[in-house]
Amino acid sequence: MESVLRTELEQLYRKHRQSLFSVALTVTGCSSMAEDAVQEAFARLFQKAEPPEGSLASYVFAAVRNAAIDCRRRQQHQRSITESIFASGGSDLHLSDISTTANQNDETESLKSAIDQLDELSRQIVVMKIFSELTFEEIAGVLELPSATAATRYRRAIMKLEEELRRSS
Amino acid sequence: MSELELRIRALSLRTPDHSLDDRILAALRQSDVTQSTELSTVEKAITPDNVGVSPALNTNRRGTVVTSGWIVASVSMLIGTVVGNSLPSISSLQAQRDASMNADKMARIVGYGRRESANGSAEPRLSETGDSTVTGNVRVGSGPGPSQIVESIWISPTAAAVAWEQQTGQIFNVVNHVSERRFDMCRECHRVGG
Repeated sequence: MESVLRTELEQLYRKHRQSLFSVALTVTGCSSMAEDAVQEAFARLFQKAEPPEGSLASYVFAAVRNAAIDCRRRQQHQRSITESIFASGGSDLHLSDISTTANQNDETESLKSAIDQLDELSRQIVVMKIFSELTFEEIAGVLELPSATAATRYRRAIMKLEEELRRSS
Repeated sequence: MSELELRIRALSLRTPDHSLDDRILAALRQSDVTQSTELSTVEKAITPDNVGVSPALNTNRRGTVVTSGWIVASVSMLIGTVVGNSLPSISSLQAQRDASMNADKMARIVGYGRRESANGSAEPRLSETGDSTVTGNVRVGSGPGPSQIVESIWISPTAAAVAWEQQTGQIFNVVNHVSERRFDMCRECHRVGG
């Protein structure tokens, strides 16, 4: 593998490690399997001699997702487990952003729960769009969908989340 | 970006275990180290297990190679046989050479015989070489004096008899010729023991 590609992969992993792990987690539903999937995907990527033609981020996310699907196929019996993609115990907001009221904490937990209840594809789109700031073109490349379809799925997911929050409040 | 999207972004995704970071970064370093030896490793690792070839397929491939080798060997032998048969045999070549060169060789022997006779020997006598099949040169003359080197040749019995009669001026008698010491000369000339 070329040193340039190796460096880019390392930087990409450090930047998107949480999103990559979350995408894998949405597929496997199990954190240990998700970790295995991420590791397996990078192990495959390290064997590549040539960089991909398109976006490297899209390429890596697709590799992780495919590895997660493989892991899920191998261990179908663990499919019933569904872990949240969010860290427990609040958020990493800055002090100025942190709401100290119980009401706001409830809203945050409701939002987490609503995202966790989205379908698998929508969760992946939300993670890649909001947390990793991928373009719809890149997301479409990961999911092997038309970019318009990816954008539509994202908007529907956001609308669904808004409805859930309104209902819960 | 809408307010909801900002709120979602403010959430914290789960962080993978630190061991994942260690494993991935270690694999990254390992790929860096193995890059230099990748070529030799690939060369050594061409086995059915590594290249994904099933044992059955590998056996078939080996069998194909063996079969191909036998086919090549058989065809080579066949071509060799055909070419060998098309060439004239050694004995026929020898006979042709004898027929064309007999006269010249007889004259040479006669010449040498006369020189030997001049040294006092009644009959020319070729020395023993110990091996009737030797095709090299043989010494002429067994005495202490200087010997002459005569080319070892093969001539037919008839031609040898004529040459002997010309040398000695006598009539060639097969019984006397073979039973006497001249037998040595016959053996040298005929290279077949007389």
